[in-house]
Amino acid sequence: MFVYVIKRLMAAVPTLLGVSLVIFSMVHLTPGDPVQVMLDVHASADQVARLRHEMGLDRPLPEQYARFVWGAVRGDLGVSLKSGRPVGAEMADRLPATLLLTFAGMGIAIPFGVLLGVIAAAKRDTWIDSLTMVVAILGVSVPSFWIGIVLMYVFGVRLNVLPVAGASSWKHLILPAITLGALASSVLARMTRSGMLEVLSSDYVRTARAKGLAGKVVLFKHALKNTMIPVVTIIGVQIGSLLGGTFIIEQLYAWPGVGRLAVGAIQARDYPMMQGIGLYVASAYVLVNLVVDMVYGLLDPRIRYS
Amino acid sequence: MMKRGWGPTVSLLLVLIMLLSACSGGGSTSGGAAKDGGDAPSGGAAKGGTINYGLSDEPDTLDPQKSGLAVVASLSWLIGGSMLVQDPQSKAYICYLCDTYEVSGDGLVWTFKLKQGVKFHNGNPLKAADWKYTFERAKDPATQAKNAGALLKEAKSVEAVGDYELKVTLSNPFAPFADALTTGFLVPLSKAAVDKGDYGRNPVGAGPFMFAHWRSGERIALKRNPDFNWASAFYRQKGPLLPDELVYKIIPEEATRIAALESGDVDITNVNYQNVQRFNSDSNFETLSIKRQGLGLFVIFNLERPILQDLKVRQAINAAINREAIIKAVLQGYGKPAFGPLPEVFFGYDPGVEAKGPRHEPQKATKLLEEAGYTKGAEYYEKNGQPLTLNLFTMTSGTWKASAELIQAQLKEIGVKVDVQPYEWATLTAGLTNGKHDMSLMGYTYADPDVVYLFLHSSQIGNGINWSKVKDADLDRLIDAGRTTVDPAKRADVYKQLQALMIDKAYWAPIYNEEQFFAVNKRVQGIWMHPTKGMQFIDASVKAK
Repeated sequence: MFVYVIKRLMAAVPTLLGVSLVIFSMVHLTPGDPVQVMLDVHASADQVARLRHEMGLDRPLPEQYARFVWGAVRGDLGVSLKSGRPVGAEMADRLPATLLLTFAGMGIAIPFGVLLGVIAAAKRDTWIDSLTMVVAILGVSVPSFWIGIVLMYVFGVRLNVLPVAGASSWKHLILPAITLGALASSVLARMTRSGMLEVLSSDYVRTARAKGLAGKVVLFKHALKNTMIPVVTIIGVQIGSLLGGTFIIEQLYAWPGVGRLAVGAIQARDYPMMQGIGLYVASAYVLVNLVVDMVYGLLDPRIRYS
Repeated sequence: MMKRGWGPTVSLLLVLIMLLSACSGGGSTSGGAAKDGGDAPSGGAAKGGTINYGLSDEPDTLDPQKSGLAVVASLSWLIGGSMLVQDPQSKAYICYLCDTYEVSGDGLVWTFKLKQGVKFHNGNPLKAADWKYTFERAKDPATQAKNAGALLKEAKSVEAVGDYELKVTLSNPFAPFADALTTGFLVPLSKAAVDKGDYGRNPVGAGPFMFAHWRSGERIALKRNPDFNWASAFYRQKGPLLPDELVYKIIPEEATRIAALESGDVDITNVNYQNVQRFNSDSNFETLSIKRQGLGLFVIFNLERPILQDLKVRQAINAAINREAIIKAVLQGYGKPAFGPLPEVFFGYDPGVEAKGPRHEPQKATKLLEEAGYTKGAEYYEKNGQPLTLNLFTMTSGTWKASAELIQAQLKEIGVKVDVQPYEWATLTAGLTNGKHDMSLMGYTYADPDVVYLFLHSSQIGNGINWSKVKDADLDRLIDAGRTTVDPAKRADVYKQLQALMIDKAYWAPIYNEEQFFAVNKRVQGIWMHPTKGMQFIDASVKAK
């Protein structure tokens, strides 16, 4: 298993290199001059030229790319054009909030979503199935900012039991996590239901029932594991996406995560920050995919990695 | 077969939800009521408490020399102080961190006798050497100072004469220099603090508030400076401020800021036009307003376009715009039409522009187009078979976008086709610098009429923000005179001539100057608006619970 993990991590290197090239190209193709944005509009041409030279932005693009990659390999993602602080430090400031929101949101989404899906599958074609699926469809269709605004209005303003903005306490986490969890759980509910339905019609489940096992035991001990394999894939994609920051939720709740940092970097044409965040998101997906693959092995003992 | 059913599971879920609500119920606030209140309820203003301010834009740094953001200037001023302040009544520039100052007859030598007993937050006394260090750092190319460097452009040399006298010598007389010395971009810096490194995240000043902490993306907290006792005479509070803390909560989304205001999470924030009435009629809040400090909204014409080189076309566009309609629709009526290049709040504003300036006269507009050689086609005016079409750059959202759409409709009425092109700020300014626009909306926060130098002086084409590409020798002469005439009466006359010239030449189509509104929870007292410098916190206090 250890060798497998090492091999996978090494295989990620060309992926990350490719991603870094794509990000670098896109960043530099975006219209707008970061130096002009940084220095504010009325800087003199001299000042602009001097700053451009200081930041190495007048070097040929291949050289700039090589410097970026070489720096990244040594853990130096450069200095933010906007704040003057190391990109790594800026991201480190925001990462805990993003990690917290990701795991809180998924901590709500996974149990609710999976449970809803299991209930719907177990009560297939009854009113319970219809109700749970309507809830799931609503959760997927209704925009997250709308859910967020409604929750904020009800719990923050009218009832005044939860704060509406910021991240100073655990209470601040509740509304953003529920908003995030609502969407994620809806997706998981539908995936779980369809997976569970397939599994419930298989031979070994019929055998389990014939053996007289209790319904819940059949569902949760025997059927759920096989259902979870495609569901875990989706969970992995969702976590990967959330680790990149959820701009809409962060913007709405003033949550200080990586999403807002990324959008701010784009608006300021903060090349090093955009590149640093891009690389971080790619790495997050690589890591999450690796963990998902390892979880497969836990779920299905037939899957062995060497 | 399920024997036990789903009852227990559902019950468990319900219990969890109830527990969650119960746990969150304690220790939070009721809307608009006191939170973090002060002590000493007996008479007068209470000491203590926290003021929470809802801030829409996070500063990029708190090193005032390395930022161009207005929010950075505001916070830096509270932390750092400034050499001069502007008296809210007389508008005269008076000493704050100095005792007296004088300007030589030729306007070139500014001598400041510094206030004694002023200390930085690190305990070091503020002396002339610190001011010299501050100004030289701003002018040092290695600092890459933004606004601070531009404001000190004319400062040739800075001399510390002993500990408490500072002499600044200018290359040319520079009338805006006094105002420059009131801004948060030129606060005195402690070299010891700067040398420690990462100054932008750990500012040290001589102001009424000290920097406490900055949680990225979330909040910036300032705390009372217990040694502060050098407030200007026009403040009631002479010694250390009353509130313990002033916390800027960074909440970029407008709806969330309003919700935070209503729930008591913040005490003060800016309020959009749609919500002004609501807070006006809410007895828990006080609304404060200020006229926008700068150029409100105007259209710039790209004079490199042959169509717009014709004065009659520019005048026609000016006559086609219905400013009152735009103010009513976009600002809910909270603004005034602009007739000339300078707003009412600026030094040198000439009320005479209201009579001379453009009005909504669509018939005059079409007549001017015909005089310019255009003939009316089926829908639009044409010349040589080409319809009169112009693009109009604007920002992607907010008042600019709405105004652009109204201008498009108004110009269509007189037979001019307008293609509105919305961009986000950095792309917009890149497009303007590259001259891709025919027309663009523009607004600019500034404090002095010398702003016309940035936008209209021929030396600022390509090198700066003369996006109109105006090269007018008469205009240049007046702009230069405005910068270098120190005598206020003479300077005002120069700007009067400049405003008349701008109306005659119609290089811009001024639209409006808006008001800006803030709602303040009444648990915070003593906040007032300086007519040119915005919200003042020095007299603030927090009501005891």
